[in-house]
Amino acid sequence: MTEKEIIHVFHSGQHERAFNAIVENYSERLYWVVRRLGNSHEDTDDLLQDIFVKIWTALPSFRGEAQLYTWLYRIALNETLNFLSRQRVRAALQFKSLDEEMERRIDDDPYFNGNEAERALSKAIARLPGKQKTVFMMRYYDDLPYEEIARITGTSVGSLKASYHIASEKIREELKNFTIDF
Amino acid sequence: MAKNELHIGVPQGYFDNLKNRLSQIPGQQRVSTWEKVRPYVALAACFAISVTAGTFVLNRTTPQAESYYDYLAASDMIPVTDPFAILDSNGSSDEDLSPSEIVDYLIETGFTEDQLADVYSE
Repeated sequence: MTEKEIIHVFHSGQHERAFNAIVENYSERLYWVVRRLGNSHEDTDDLLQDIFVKIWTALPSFRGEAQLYTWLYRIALNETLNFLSRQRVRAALQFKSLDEEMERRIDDDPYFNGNEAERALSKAIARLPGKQKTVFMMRYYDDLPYEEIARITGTSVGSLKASYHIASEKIREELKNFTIDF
Repeated sequence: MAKNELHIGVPQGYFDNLKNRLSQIPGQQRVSTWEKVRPYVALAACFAISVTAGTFVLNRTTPQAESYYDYLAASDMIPVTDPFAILDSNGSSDEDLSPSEIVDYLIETGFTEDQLADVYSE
């Protein structure tokens, strides 16, 4: 079912059918949006439940001004960044660093199947500040154009380009001992 | 390393399981209206029971206050005239009585002749 068909089905009163189509079409993509931002598989699974509950409750307010996927992406991103902020505060209260915690998660992740260079890249991304990490992920993994990222994040294209440039430089510096091309 | 490749995996069959669980959200949300209200209803019921039980216990253990009508009945026994005002009066109403009328009154009220004789001899 295409985006337009899903929206049409929803407006015709078949809310559950439209929601199930969203689950079918986008749950896997949204899983990776959440997971790439440095969450473990278990946290991602929990977050997806919250995200889809939010999607279900907010669906009647979707007016179709943005593309459906952009709207879904924005919900997933906001939920994930809020979750990471809460985790950062929680870690600070325990005199711990969330960056170190994320690096440890990458080391301990039973589902990681890359080599040492790829592990180093994941750790370097995990250490980026929230906005730089978001932009880098969207550009590097999702290959989204800046205009689309601007719509999702509500930030100007100029600011996004600057954030991406800084993030790329940081990662290049951290991975200078590895042969990774990006 | 190829671009756009994330080197992490998921458990076997995870996405099918995930879609199955997520598609149950609309049904769970419908049920949750009562689920959301239930704690507040329970709290209100506990409050109502506490107030009822408290009032009952207080009524049983506290002595009953004097009722308004009891107060009115007792008020008849309270002197409303200053006793000293009677003593201080000059007895002007007595001046109209003759000595024989006074004696008759005293006899009616139980004075004996001997007592009257004592009074008048003093």
